[in-house]
Amino acid sequence: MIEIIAITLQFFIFHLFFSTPLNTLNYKKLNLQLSLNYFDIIFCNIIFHSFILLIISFLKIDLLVYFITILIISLVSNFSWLKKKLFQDINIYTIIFPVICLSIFFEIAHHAVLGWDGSAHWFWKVNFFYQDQDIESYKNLPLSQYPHLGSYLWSFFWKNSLLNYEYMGRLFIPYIYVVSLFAICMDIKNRLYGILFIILLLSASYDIFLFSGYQEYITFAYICFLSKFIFSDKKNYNDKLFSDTIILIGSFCLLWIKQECFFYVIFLNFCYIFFVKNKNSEKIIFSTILIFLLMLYLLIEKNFKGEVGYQAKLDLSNLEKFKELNLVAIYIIEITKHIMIAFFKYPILILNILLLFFNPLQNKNEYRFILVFFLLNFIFLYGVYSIHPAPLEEMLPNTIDRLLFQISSIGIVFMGRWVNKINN
Amino acid sequence: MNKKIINNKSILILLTIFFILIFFKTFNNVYVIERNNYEKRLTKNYGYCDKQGYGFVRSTVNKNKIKENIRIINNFKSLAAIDVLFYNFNKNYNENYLILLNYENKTSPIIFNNIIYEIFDNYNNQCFLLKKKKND
Repeated sequence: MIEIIAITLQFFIFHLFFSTPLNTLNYKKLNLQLSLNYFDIIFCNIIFHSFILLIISFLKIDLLVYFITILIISLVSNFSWLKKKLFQDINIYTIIFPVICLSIFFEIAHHAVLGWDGSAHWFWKVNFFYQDQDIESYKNLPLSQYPHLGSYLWSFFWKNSLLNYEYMGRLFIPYIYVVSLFAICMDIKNRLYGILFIILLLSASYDIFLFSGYQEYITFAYICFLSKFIFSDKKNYNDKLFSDTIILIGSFCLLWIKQECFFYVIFLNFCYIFFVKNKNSEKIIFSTILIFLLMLYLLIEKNFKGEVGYQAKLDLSNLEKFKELNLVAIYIIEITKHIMIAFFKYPILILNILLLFFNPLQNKNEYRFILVFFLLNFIFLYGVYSIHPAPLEEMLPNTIDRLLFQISSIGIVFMGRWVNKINN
Repeated sequence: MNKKIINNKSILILLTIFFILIFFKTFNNVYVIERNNYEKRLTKNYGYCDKQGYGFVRSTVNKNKIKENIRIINNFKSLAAIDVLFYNFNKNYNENYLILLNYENKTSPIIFNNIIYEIFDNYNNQCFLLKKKKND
């Protein structure tokens, strides 16, 4: 019973921790006309705390002090919200949200094991931070090329959990996954449609295996939320400033989750700059800051790890094998075959493709955005597997489905808008 | 009318909650967590002397009061190693000990990587805690 209670309390700890600095009362002081819902605000806080914790990961700051301080600030700042808006903010979404989170938490606690990548790669980093090791020795870990923010957050919540069980730390992953889905669904005016849409998304994207220490759901949630901000209706300068800040900070945090996120961030922001932003001056300023952040990431990585490397050496000389033309055909067929298999494994990908084929939005720029984003990603996939030195049969079955799954959340934003349109 | 709306809403909420609890097998998960403590669940999922051999490693390390890190070698190469679950960054490897999991062996001493070990702990002649044999 103690474990059940501890897991339940862990949910409230996450919720309290991510309920500050913004809440539904104080965000209005920012003079925003963006219609942010309750879960949008929580995700903004998730991005804020991820960014702060990313900075702290390079410093020697007592994490317990930070954790307790945030909880106290959150309690104090949300006290007036509790008094004024608690009953106003209660609706079917806020009732169902904890039920879904806790259900996933219990499933993770039941299985409580780490998958291959979890124990072979990520948990080394988690354990490293959990045991208060110096970031300078991070380069000595197995596969130290992998970025560390996901593992750092995992160890942070593990260290500050009620029970000293490793899985308590990684419960933040389903939490942010569910927040990202609710951030989309809460905008649907018809609540019945909204609930049905959540159930559809959960059925199409839920995979307990990916909660066994993998980081894919973090990327999934971040891409989902950043896309939502990219397409938010910005009415004034403050809206634009706020959205761009969230997109840039979110993109910077995303760089530190997984290696492939470097490419996702470039593709996502490239599409944002070319298909969403109108003014040239805004495009130039945004691109300049983005390039600065990408350079900063590379610089810090190089400084700490000596080089920015990948799991295997991606060398252009690997392309020499394509002198035999039949190998080109074999590669294309094999990669395409596994892409098709991935569609059956994660049906959310099918929803994305349906969106591309039927284009229910009928907005040229949105359509171009999603089309170009997927095209760039497919070019990336075919390119990476062609250049990778490992044999295809070894790599494809275990990785391509996850690479595709991470970007599949981009379609959710458009689907949510479409469901809203049907309702109207 | 209002009452009807409230009733419809409540029914929708209850049905949704019920669906979610069934979809995620929440009742079964809570039952399993309640009936089996964390260590038991880990041993069940990682295996005692099968799969990744978590149970054997945990019990032999506790029984023999080994404080340093030990190298663990699992014959099931298709499964990820679980060394990291026991790894302490502030301690070195104790090269005198070695844990072999899922090995078929009935004779002592065991020669592994050209080093002679004696069996220190044994489970079903399949999982072993080995200690480096001293040269006489």
